[in-house]
This record gives sequence, structure tokens and C-alpha cells, in this order.
Amino acid sequence: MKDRLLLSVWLVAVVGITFIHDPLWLGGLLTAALLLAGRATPTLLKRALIAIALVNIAVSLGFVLSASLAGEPWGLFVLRLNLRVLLLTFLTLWLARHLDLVRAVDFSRSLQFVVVLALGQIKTFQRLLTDYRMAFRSRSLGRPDLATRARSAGRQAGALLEKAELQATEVNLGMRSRGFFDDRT
Amino acid sequence: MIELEQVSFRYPEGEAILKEVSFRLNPEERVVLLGANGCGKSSLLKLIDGLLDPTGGEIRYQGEALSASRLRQREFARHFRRDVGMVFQSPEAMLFNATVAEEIAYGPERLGMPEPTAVARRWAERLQLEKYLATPPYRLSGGEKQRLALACVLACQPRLLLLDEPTANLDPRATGWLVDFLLDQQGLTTLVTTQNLSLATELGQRALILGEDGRLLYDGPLDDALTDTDLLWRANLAHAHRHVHADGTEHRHVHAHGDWG
Repeated sequence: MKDRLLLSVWLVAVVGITFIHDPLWLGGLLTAALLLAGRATPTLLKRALIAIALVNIAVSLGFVLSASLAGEPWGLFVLRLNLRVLLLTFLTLWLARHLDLVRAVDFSRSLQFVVVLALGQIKTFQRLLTDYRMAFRSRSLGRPDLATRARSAGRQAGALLEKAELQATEVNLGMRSRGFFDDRT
Repeated sequence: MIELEQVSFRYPEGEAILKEVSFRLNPEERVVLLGANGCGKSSLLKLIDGLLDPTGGEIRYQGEALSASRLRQREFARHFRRDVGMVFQSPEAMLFNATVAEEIAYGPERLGMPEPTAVARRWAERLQLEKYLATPPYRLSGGEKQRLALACVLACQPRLLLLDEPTANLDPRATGWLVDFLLDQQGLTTLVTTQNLSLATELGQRALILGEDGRLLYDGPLDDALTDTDLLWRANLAHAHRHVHADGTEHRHVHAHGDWG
């Protein structure tokens, strides 16, 4: 019940926040969220900033450039965008820390199957990614240059994609073997 | 029980994996399917479980041809899925319920067996998973997942159990436990794939050996197969290596028996 409530509150918050355009309100809500998160705030904030940095910087710079060329103001938009995205990301990370997603979706068995499968896959891929990183480190004498790191990251992404495809096929067969699709065909 | 006649299989746009494989599985037989990596052992189990369709030949289950269209008929599918259970090499592939209890109860529930929750509890106890009943399956270790996958299948009381490399994720103690457990099951036909010849001797009476070309090289008593070094060598189930003596002389050893799977 608690998990379902948390998920509902989060969904309402996400929808609500997209309708708030005043940076003062957004800033106030972000401050409140940072305070309410308590001791987890620094970790969550750091994660949220890392998660959004690349995309937000690119989008903000793009907007600043195009608005400047058109002679239009850009400050308010950039502030609003960054506050909103940071607030939503922070809330999502906070939710991920406190929510048992499997329990939260227990109103639908099918949805629960999907969530369990997704979580299982995420766990497998997390382990795999850690292995890839460690293997790369163990084969590197010092810190590899950017090109080598990029090449390695590309290979890892390719391998993960291939593994995901193989695993999806295997999961499909595993579920069929247990009769999952028998009354769905 | 299950009969394969001239069964061939290839994945789309791939080379032929199995070529004209024929054999029959009889009730309560314990059969091991041996073969080197990539020779088609797992594909063969999936064909028997009706998950893949042969590209040639026919598989018959209790005299009836097994096909995708036949398995789309609900009554036949229910009957077949109850009788034939398969434990995958990667048990994660079979686990999709929210808790261990629900995972085990899933099969009995779908088959309309009475008291699926009680059945789940009983099998969890038998497979030493009772303390994880409320735990999501993805949080279990590799060996626990393997036991859970086995519990899920056994809870449906199958008559034929297909096990794909069942000890691949297990440590020696868990392997010993699994062997004892399987030997204790009464009235069950088992087909186990492995490359581990010492495990094979513990689990099987009859051996099927697949060659690297996808053809069935041998079908007969396991003991006879294990003394045929030439057969094991052809199936890539034996290995040779250089042995250097203290006096500097050397010769090659061929190992046919061993625990290297």
C-alpha cells in the first residue's frame, strides 16, 4: 500500500511540476525536496547532476545560442528548464531509493511480470557492465586515452546490446516453456 | 513417451545445427545427452520442449506429432506443459514472478492444480528455499536461482524433466545435492545435457552423444560409451595433452574420464 501510494504521489508530482512555470516555485520545491531527503541529499543531488549534466548543458547552450542570434531573452527559459529537470530527476532518484516497484504495481499481474523481468535484466547488465569495466582496467597499464576509452565503450555497448537480444529470446522461450503464452495465442 | 525421427534443425540464416537425429525416450529412463560446446544439445532440448520447430523430421509426444500449431491448442498445450518440464541453463530466463512463492505457485496455478500456494511452500522446503518465499527471484544467487527453477518445474509434477547443463551454476556441494535429489525422484524420465562425464555417470544409465557435426554419434549404455575412447575423442569429449617425465622423455595422454565440464 505504501509503495502504491508513493508511486501515485510521484506520478502526481511529475504531472504537477510540468505545469509550474515560475522559477521561484520550482526553486522552492527543489529546496523543499532537498531538505526532505535528509541525509541522502548530497548523494542524490550528485547523481542527479551527473545524470542530467550532458543533455542539459547541450540543450541550454543550444537555446542560448539560437535565442541570442534572434535577439530574444533566454535567461528565464534556461533557468526554468534546468530547475524543472533537476527537480524531476532528484524526485525520481529519491523514489527509486524508497520504492519497491514490484509491490507498487501489484494491482496488475502482467505489469508485475514486466517489472520483475526488467529488474532482473537490469541486475544482470549491471553485473556485466562492472565486469567489462574491471576487465578493461585490468588490461590497461595507466589511464587509457580518450580514443581507447571511446572504442572500449562502443564495444561494451555493442556487446550489451547483443547480450540483451539473446537474453530476450531466451526469456521468451523460458516463459513459453512454462506455459505463459498458452492462453494468449 | 517422446520420439524423434530424422530431426534436423537450423536457425534462420544459420548453418544446420542438428542433422537427422533419431531416438526415443522411454518412461522412467535416465538419459544423459553428451556433446561438445555448440553441438546443439540445448537446441535439441528446446525442440523436445516444443519451443523450436524442427526444420526436418518429426517429434512425436505420446504418438502425436508435436508442432507449433498443435501447441496452440489449449488442451494439448496444458497436457504437454504439465508432462514436460525444462530447466534452462540460465535459470533467469524462467523467472518472472514477484516472489519465490509466486514463482513456484505459477505453474500449478495455471494447470489448475489444487492449493498452489501450499504446493509452492512444500517445494520451497524440499529445495531449501523456504526462507526466500517472500524474496524476488532476481535477488537470489546463481545456485538458488537454479534450485528455484527446478522447484518451479517439479511443482507441476512433470513426467519428463529436461535439464540443460544443470550444474553450470553450482558449486560442488550443491552439485552433489542436485544429483542425490534427482536420483530420489520416482517415476520421472530425465534427459540431462552435460559435458561433465563424471556427472553423467551419476545421472544417467543411457547416453546419447552428439557429434560436432550435429549428428547423433551414439545411443546406448553409458558405461559402454565411457570406455570407448575413440568415440569420446570424435565427440570432443576427451582431451589429450603432453606428459613430460622426470627423465626428460615425454608422451601424450588421452583423458576420457574426468571432471572438467
